[in-house]
Amino acid sequence: MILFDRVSFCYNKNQETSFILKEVSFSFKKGAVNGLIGKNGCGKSTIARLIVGLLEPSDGKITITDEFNAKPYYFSGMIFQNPDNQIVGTTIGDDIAFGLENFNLSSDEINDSINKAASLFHFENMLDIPVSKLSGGQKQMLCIASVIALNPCWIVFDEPTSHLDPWARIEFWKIINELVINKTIGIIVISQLPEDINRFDNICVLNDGEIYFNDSVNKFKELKSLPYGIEFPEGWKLEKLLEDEK
Amino acid sequence: MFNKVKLKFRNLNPITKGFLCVIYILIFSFFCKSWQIGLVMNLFVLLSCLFIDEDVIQLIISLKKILLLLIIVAIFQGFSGNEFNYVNALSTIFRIIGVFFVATLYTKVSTQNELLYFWEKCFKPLKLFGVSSSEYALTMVIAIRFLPVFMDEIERIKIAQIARGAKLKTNSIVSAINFMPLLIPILTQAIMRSEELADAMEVRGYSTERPRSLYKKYSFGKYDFLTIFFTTIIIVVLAYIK
Ligand SMILES: Nc1ncnc2c1ncn2[C@@H]1O[C@H](COP(=O)(O)OP(=O)(O)OP(=O)(O)O)[C@@H](O)[C@H]1O
Ligand SMILES: [Mg+2]
Repeated sequence: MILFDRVSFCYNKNQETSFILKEVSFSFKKGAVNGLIGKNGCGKSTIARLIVGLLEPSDGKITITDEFNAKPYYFSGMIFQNPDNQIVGTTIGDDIAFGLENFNLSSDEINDSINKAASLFHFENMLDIPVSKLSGGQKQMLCIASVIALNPCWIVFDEPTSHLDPWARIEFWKIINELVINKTIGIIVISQLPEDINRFDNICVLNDGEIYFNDSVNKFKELKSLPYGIEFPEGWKLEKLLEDEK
Repeated sequence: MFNKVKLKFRNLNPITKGFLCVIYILIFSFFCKSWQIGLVMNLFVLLSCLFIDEDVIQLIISLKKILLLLIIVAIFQGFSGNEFNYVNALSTIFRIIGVFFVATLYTKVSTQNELLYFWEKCFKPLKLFGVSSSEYALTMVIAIRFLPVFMDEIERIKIAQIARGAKLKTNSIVSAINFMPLLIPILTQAIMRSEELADAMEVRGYSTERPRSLYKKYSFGKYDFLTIFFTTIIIVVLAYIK
C-alpha cells in the first residue's frame, strides 16, 4: 500500500503560494488498477515523482508497505510518457540490463532476469535487435519490460498510452491486467483518455492541489458533476442518458 | 570462416576499440605530413572496413557530409603561398578524411555500453582530483545517444517548414543561416529530453556513486593483441619514414 499522509509539495520553496499539493491524504492498494486523473498541470506527474523518490515532499509523509512480498528494499519503477527519452541501451538486451547493472547483480543473475522479463513481452529472440528498429508500441513495451525486470513493488505509468495506437493500447492493458491479477506489483496509471478511465478499478481525481474524489469506479460513475476539465467516457454518458429515459 | 573473423574484429574489447580510435586520429593529425602517406593510410583504413564488416562504398559516400568543409580547408591551405599549393591542400584533405573515417567507423562498431565502458575507464584518473569519472562518461554518452534523435528532430522541423510553404534551399550555407532561429527551440527540447532521460535512469537505480556491475564481460583476446601489434608496427614504420 502507498499511503500519502498530509503531503504538501511546492517546487519553489520561496513562494509559499505555489503549492502543487496541499496536505493531501490518500492511499493506493495492490491488486487493482489505480487510476489518477486531473486536468493538465494539476500535479499528477508530481505525485508520480514523489512516489518513486525523484522528489521529496515539502511536508507530510509517504509510506510504502508491501503485504504481498517481503523484499529487502522497496523499489518503485516509473514509466514516462515518451519511450524515446527513457531507453538507455542500444539493443533490447542492453536496455533491460541497464537497471540490473545498477543494482550491482552478478552477470548470471542479470542474464536470468533479462530472459524472464524478455519472455513476458515476447522479446526473447530479439535481445540483439537495435532499439532504433522498434516501433513506438514495441519501445513502450521495452520500457515496461526493463522496469519489470527490476522486480519493483510498484510501477507508476505516467500517461503510458498516449504514444500507442489503439491496438497497442489493447495489448498494453492486457499486460497491466495480468500484473494486477498476480498482485505482486502494484499499478498506478495516470491517464487523460476517457477510454482508459474505463479500465480503472479505483479512481483518484486531483483538482487544485486537493483530492476531489478517491474511490471505486462504480462510485465515480454516480458522481453528479466533475471538476472543470474532466469528462466521463462517452459510453458512460450514453448509459446515463438511457437510464434517465427509463 | 572469413565471416567469423569479421565478427571477431567487430567485437574487439571496447578498450582496444577506443584506444585504436584515439591512436589513429593522432596518427592522422600528426604523422601524415605528406599526401602520399595520407593516401596510403586512408587506403589502409578503407581496407580495414573489410575486416569489420562495414560497407566501404557507404563510408565513401558519407564523405559528402563534410564536402563543404573539405573544399573550404583546401582553398585556405592551397592559397597560403603565391600560387596554388596542391601538395599542401591534398595532404590536409587526406588528414581530415582520415579522422572522419576513423571516427565514423568507431561509432559504427561500438555499442553505447562499450562507449560508456571505455570513457569511464579513460576519465578514471580524474578521480584523483575529486572529479567523478562516471559523470563525465555519462554526459558524453547522453550526447552520443541523443545525436540521432536530434537529427530526426531537425528533419521533422525542416519538413514542417516545407509543409508551411518554405522553399527548400539547396545551397547549404543559405540553409544553415535559415536554420539559426530554430536552434533555440531545438536546444530547449534537447535539455528537456536529457532531463527526462536522467530522471528515467535515476528511477532505474542509476547513481554515479554506487558501484555498477557489467553483465557482458569484455575479454581481452587473441584478436585484440593482433590489432594492437599491427598498429604498433604501423607507428614504427611511420616514425622511421619521418
Ligand atoms: N521542475 C519544475 N519546476 C517548477 N515547476 C514545475 C516543475 N515541474 C512542474 N512544475 C509545475 O507544477 C505543476 C504540476 O506539474 P505536473 O507535471 O505534475 O502536472 P501534470 O498533472 O502531470 O500535467 P500534465 O497533464 O500536463 O502532464 C505545473 O503547473 C507545472 O508548471
Ligand atoms: Mg504529467
